[in-house]
Amino acid sequence: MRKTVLLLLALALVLGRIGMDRVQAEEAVLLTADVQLKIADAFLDEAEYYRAVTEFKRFLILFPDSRRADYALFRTGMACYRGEEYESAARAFASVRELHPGSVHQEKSRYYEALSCWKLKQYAQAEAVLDVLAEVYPESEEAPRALAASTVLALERGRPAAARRSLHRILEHYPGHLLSRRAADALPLVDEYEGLPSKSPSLAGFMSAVLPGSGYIYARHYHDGVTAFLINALAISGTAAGVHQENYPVAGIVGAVGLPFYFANIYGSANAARKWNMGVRKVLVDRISLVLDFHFHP
Amino acid sequence: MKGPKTASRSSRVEPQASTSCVDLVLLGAIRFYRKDISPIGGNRCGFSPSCSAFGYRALSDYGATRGILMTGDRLMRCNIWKKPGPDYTLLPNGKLYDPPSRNLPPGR
Repeated sequence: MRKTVLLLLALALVLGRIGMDRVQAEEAVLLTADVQLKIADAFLDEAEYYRAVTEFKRFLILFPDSRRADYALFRTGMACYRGEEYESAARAFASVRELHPGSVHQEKSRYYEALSCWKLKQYAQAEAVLDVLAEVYPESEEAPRALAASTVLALERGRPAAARRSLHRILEHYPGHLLSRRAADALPLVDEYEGLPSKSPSLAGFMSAVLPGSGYIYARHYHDGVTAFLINALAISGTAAGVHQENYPVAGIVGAVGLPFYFANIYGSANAARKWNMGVRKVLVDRISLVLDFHFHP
Repeated sequence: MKGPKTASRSSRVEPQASTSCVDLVLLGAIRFYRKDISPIGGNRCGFSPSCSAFGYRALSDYGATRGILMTGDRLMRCNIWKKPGPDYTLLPNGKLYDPPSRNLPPGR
């Protein structure tokens, strides 16, 4: 009798445990590669970039041999790019390029690697990556976009001839593409870029050396010119008055204070001319970017 | 990026190592101005970084010669007529953004 009770008790325990396990199994989630990627993607979609990067990295640690490692790396790059961490983004995209040469994410990785380099002011590297993308993957969707980006980049670097070359490549290689029509519209604007008026920084500096403030006015920074003229006029007349009255200590002090302003007025005038040139160019480059539908947003 | 930030350069002026004697004197003068004189009148400069912060950064980053030129130029530009435009971006706090890096000589 006692044995039977013990046996029944043991049976009840075993059955109970099995039931518990079943309930737990129904509630538990097995961390598969799919699940891990879903978590990471969800964070990226919710603009939780830092968490997305962590989850994609976790995927790469847990499933290093997964056939979707390239996807995880590419998405890591996108999370960094959208989070404006361009150095990390460029590194992740470069890893896709180097570690997964046959990946379907090659083209996009290269495109965004170039944009990341561009944001990091590594213009030569950006140009090289865009060039290779257009050259090696001419059939990809990213190739004409890469050429459009090359156009804008070349203009930002003050190289209209290179920009024109990129636009002609779009026209030649992608005649039916939407970007081809846009490239045709952008060509006259590139011609306009070459004929843009400019102010000479050297001339602005020279003018300010002769008459303080005049270089600013030449560079269309009228108010700065007036201020520079007044400050320098005060310093020069103060020094002259000190010398005239044989009050040399005062003349020396006023002169010593005024002298840096005189040289700063030359430096500032040259810079004002450079800024004016940059401003004029920027307006046109922005227009060309708009025509080519080029932007940094993914 | 949402999450722990990487170290970024703030507009606050931090003392940096400088070897030149002229640099040290000028930086010391600006520190004195920022600590003991500027607070009397309050935050009046319409630029960000302010003229003194600009001067400090220009001197510590680009040396005495260029720093003096850049600071002198900034002081002349800090007039009552300054306004947002292609040269200056308007910040949410109403100041005009004008860091030393935007005032480097051509080719820099």
